[in-house]
Amino acid sequence: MKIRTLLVKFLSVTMILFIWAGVASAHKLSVFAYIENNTLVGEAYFNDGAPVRHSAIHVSDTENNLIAEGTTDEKGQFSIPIDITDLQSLLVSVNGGMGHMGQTVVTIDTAEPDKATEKAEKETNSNATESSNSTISLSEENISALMQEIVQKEMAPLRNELFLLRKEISKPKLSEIIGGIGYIVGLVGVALWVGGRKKYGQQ
Amino acid sequence: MHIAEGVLSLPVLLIGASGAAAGVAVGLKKINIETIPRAGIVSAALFVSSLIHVNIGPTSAHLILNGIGGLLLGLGLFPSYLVALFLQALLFQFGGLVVLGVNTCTMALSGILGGLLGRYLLRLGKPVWLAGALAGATGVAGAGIFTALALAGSGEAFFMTAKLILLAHIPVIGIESLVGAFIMTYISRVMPSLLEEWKK
Repeated sequence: MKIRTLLVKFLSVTMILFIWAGVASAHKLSVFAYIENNTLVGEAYFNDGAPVRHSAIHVSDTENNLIAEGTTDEKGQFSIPIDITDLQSLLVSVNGGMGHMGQTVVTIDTAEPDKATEKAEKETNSNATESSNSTISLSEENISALMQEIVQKEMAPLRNELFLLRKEISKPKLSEIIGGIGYIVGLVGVALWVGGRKKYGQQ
Repeated sequence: MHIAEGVLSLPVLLIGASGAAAGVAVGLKKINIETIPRAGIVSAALFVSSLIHVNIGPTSAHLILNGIGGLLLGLGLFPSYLVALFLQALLFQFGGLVVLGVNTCTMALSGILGGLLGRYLLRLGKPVWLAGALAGATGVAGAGIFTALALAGSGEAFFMTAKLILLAHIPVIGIESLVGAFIMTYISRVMPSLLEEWKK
């Protein structure tokens, strides 16, 4: 009887622990980063949403050559100027100290639109007459700069939303917690079964 | 106190993996059919404990419960921890499969040390709550020191890292002492036969 009540109370304690667990989470370091205007912009955070403050950032290419270094600020954010020509992807790793480390891969696909605009510019240049050539190319430059600015402005809330979404996804989910406990219960069952067969023989 | 992948050097990883393999092998021999349910419950508690955050002071840390696990299981803590950490790595991406051995060693060894201290105090006839509290506190502090050692083996400055980790875990040490005292008082009331077993 005593053992049974002990077990019941132990189980209830475990239940309380894991209901509690629904609101909190543990220390996994995640990094979110993107390229904007030849600058690597991003943020590093722990799973509970706490920023990774004043931590070293290493940026390397696919061959593991160090390209740039930096540190996160008080809010865990960082922006590092990087020359992205001839680069396909960047590996951004943040070392939060005490064994915490997070990595993310930033793929760079700005090369294509650049080429496309260059082509378009050339075409318009060749089509245009001598006299209007300068004004057209100037206004096109203006337009592209303006476009970039507008797009960036419009993208900012979207990026923020994406960031929050990623933060949310990186938290442990209730189904995973229950699943993990289920695995342990199953393992105990297997062990008891095997142990019982050994002790009491095959019945 | 999960060490992430990509932080540790290869020798440390290898030492951790072989240490964990030896510990698990010995631990499995210590677990018999009577202690299997206990090992399972401890494993489940370890698995969820790192989801409980203590946000006191400048840094946040999570509960560990390794000292109390060591008190309850002794060397059987090793397999228990392996299961808990494996599932955490798989489901929550805490730690990782490559560093599983090192994390198992740092956590289980310190827990076992805490447990041994607790059992020694019981043998001396000290109050049960004190044994539980000290086992809990020693487990956390030991885990911090072992983690700092593993990191020192991979190039980080030992004393600085150990200091940072221990400072961050002061609230956790306090809470785990309370949990340990509570659990031990509880066991002494409900299952005194278990304590007699540990006093031998």
